[in-house]
Amino acid sequence: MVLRHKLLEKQGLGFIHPWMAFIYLLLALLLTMCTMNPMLIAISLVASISYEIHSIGLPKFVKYIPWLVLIFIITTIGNMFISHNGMHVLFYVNDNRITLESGIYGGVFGLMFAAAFLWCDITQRIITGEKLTYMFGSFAPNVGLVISMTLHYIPVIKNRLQVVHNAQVGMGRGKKMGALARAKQWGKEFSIVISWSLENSIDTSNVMTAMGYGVERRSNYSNYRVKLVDFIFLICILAMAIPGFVVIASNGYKVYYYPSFGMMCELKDMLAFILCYFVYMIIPFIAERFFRWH
Amino acid sequence: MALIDFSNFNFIYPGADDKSLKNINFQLESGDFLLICGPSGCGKTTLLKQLIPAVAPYGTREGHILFDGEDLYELSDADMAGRVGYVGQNPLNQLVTDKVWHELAFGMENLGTSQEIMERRIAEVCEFFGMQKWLDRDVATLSGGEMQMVHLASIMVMEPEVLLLDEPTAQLDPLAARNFLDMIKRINAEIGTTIILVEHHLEDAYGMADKVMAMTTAEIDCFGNPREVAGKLKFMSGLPSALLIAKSVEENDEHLPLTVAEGQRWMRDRMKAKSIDEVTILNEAENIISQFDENNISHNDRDDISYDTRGNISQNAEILRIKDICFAYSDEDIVLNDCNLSVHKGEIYALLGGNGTGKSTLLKVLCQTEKPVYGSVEIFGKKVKGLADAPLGYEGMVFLPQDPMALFTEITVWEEMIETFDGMDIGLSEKEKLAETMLEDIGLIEYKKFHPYDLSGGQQQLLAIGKLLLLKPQIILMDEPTKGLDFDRKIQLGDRLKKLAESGITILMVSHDIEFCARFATRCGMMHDGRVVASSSAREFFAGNNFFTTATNRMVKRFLPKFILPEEVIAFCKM
Repeated sequence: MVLRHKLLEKQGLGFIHPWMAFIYLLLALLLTMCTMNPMLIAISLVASISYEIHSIGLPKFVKYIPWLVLIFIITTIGNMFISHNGMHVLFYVNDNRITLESGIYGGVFGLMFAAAFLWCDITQRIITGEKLTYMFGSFAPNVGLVISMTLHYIPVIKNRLQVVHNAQVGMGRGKKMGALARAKQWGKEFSIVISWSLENSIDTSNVMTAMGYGVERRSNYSNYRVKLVDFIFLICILAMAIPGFVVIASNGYKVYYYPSFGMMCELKDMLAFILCYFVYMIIPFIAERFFRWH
Repeated sequence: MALIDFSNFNFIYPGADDKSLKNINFQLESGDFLLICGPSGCGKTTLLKQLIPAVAPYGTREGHILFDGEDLYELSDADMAGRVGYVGQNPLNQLVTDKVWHELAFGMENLGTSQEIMERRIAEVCEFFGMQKWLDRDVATLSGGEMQMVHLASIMVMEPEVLLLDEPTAQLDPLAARNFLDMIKRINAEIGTTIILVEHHLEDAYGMADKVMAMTTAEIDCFGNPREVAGKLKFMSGLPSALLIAKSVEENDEHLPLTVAEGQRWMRDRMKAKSIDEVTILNEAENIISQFDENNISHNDRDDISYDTRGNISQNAEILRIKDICFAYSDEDIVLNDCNLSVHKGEIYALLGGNGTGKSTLLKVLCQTEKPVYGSVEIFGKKVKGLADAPLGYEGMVFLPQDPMALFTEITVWEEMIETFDGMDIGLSEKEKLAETMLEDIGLIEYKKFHPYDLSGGQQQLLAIGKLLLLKPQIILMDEPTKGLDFDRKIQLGDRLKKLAESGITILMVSHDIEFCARFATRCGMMHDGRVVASSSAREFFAGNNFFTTATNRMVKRFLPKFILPEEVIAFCKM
């Protein structure tokens, strides 16, 4: 069970060295957020949605949908009431123009936000706690240790909350009660867990001292090695991403929303770049095609 | 030259009048395996901790401790780091990081070791401990025994010269405890690491050591090889059953048995020497058993309970019943599988069994904190449908968690007792009266102003029980009540449980502790494959088992199959 999970973690992007995978995900996020071109955002959104569905499954992804829709609605309506530019007036509210263009802008912004959200979610799943520990550990060993200790404490404290709650239930304090009493009871349980954990941490700190913590400058044990394929991966993603950034910097993807919707360049001139962008966004799938356990 | 050399060493805690260590003189050679034993509070742990200056308690030291010829307290932390390893009691508290591989690397990382050397040492140690498969596991998923093993490995990675162990097995189940001690012995024999082990429970440890130090208050009482020391030992608690029996029967035997096997030989000799026929032996044995049983279940002569001659109880006094319970945490592992159990009023029912057999889960199902897939729970003859109508708390059923700390919220023992009445409609003066009486009853009245965390493990246990007793429960569920307690505290706890049972309170406990259950439980059952099997009176239960039984029973089984406690064998031998 554990082993299978571990293998899944090491598939596709997970197989790539943490730093390279991180660079990929960071650039994907940046590429998504640096442009308001609806076509690029649509590509990024579709790619991230498909990858999410591919990796966590449709049922889990369905739970995200209300949030994504909420983001979309808030930005669309919000922008309509904030920005009154644009040629096509839909109606007036308190003498303010509500325009089609500002609605479109808000909607596209919402989609961009949703895509960014999904890329962040993908990042947190691929860059696991262990990888994060390693990445920080490689330049700041103490920060790496703190992350690792935090990851150790989360399940411990969760478990203690359960134990304390069970103990309180065992004293007859699990019955239905009013909101105030419930809050008080919850506060009590929380306070038990905190003081219990603090008391135990004295032990832990003694162990750390006895094991020589703080005696020398810490080194960092790493489970990850840079492989040839990681370099190839890095070169490929840079080759794919750099043109994108160049075009962004030169305003090639730029789209006008006000006074009316329009693009800076002809679509057919941009086709090659857009294809590049598309390939970049589906790299997680390509990686999974290559780095797969049989 | 000796590796460790204590000469005229004294230690006084700040503000204390008496020395906590007095005139400590002894030498230890490299590769020795020293066992330190003695009653609670005699200074064993204080002595052990002197050997790690970085975490040694504050206080005044007189005399010298030489480590490999140099004064220990003049060596710097950097010099000492990694040379002396320390393993304490609580498995979870000793782990620092989130993954097993990181735990193994932790000590070496502290010393700035390079990646190549770390890799090599971790590989070696994994091979030695057989824990390759564990490397990628989250430490949170390890069992107590595995955690303790990982911590030991993480110390061995640093190649220490001396390994200090302070009751390393106190929190472990018997199987894990034995594995751990075996590993210590292996490290000592194969790697040559010097071992200093402090233990209360000596059944397995005593035979392993090649030197034993017995301490009485602050002083060394005797020191030498286990067999020499065995004859001179003044205290009895926690000794291997074979040694305990032999010592009680004949004071000055030079060949005292230390293990079950030696005990069996010793017993065979005694039986031959007795030279009486089998019928007489059986009669004598029956006499002794009935005497002990009478003591044990005298409280059962009450009107509302009817027992038959063998200590079995008739059905009418059933107070708690579990019927066909099925339970699973996930689809894959079924924890409880058609589990049935009934407990009767006024008995101490002990549920034994290994780790992960579902003992604790059963208690959770009883408390309604986990919902079974199928089956029903009846308490006081009424079906319990959910948390809302469970008779938990005042005048009902209460639950004592494994770690009493899970109950403590206040900053003094006194407030802790008062806190019990939270949300109940009782006047303050009435509360105080009840709390006062209870504190007196459990003997913690002098500790009124103490912080609950400053009490010893045994006292914390008492305080937790006292708290629960204020709720006037009829049933007490206990999860591993003897965990971390030394022998004497266990006896005290057991006597208290007996008194509670006599007053009509029913106790259902879940335990690993075979010796404790044999001594104090009225009935026992074994949890296996999600069910309770072999549920019967304590004597029948242990006499019927061949492996899962007390050391005494294993020792005398061939001659006196029904004897389960050392006292019984002693009485027989003295007859």
